[in-house]
Amino acid sequence: MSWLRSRPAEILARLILGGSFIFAAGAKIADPPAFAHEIYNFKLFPGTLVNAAALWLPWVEMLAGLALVAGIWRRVSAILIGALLVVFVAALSINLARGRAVDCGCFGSSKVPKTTEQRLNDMKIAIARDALLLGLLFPILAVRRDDSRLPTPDP
Amino acid sequence: MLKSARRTAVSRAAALLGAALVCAAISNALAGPERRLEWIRKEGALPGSPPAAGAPGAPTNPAWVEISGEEAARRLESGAIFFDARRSNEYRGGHIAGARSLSVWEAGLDEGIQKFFAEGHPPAENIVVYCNGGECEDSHTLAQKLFLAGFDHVAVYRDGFPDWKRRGLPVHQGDQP
Repeated sequence: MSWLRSRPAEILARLILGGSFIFAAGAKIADPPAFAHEIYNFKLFPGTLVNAAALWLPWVEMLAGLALVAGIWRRVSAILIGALLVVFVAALSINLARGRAVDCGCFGSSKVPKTTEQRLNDMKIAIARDALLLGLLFPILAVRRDDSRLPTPDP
Repeated sequence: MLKSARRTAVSRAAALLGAALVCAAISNALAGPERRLEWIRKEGALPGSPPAAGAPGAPTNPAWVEISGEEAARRLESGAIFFDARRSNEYRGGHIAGARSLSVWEAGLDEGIQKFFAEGHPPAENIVVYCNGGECEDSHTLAQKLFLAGFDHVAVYRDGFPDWKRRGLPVHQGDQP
């Protein structure tokens, strides 16, 4: 498993993880009211703060994603993204446990109406996808500590 | 050494979160009315549970009632005022003929209600609100808002616009009611 700690694995993980976050953030930044609606539907957040979260979170995703892809402040941006992923998984899991079928809103809101079953299924897929993305943190966070051959330290 | 590394990490994280806040403020200030959000969502806008008609303990004077498609059509004919609570782009794509747009997720909702209030409608004005039916709660949110503004004859068209279209009732497209 040493390839997981290699430089190429680290770069690939950063590109996939950072790229996903940039893509996801772009859709939400383009339509904050739609994202606010999604957050509201999760019924986990105080109603007064829904709008502020819908405005702020996508930009955290965007900047952390850009930093990760560019290799600037790698560790910090990776940890921020990890924290966001944990929050997303928790939010989806709680609603799944409640039996509440919500649109994930992960990559912007869906344009086509879905049935409850489709939504519940999509939530499970989203949780699995987020867990996979969380796994990508390993090569990013592991490489710096153990690979002393790394040419450029974290700036 | 480790302490200073941790301090650097914390200050970098704070810088990133702060920069995100600045970007959000700028992009929201530059956004058009359909994409803009008020930073603090007014709690009064949140819907309560729709009162179950006839249920034991149900309030005798509920904030709003839920009505069917037939009843909505009947109320349109008798001159009720209809409000479309969906997003502006959905409204433009097609709405109940005569309905006004009042999206609950776009900036200017409270101004819209105040404007309507200022038109001098009586509290007993017959009002019908709708969104997309099913799990859509936007019509309830708007009903609650209108109720709090002083209108006590507000009805929520439960099955909303998809049902209206299915029934082949009159639909208009564009920005105007």
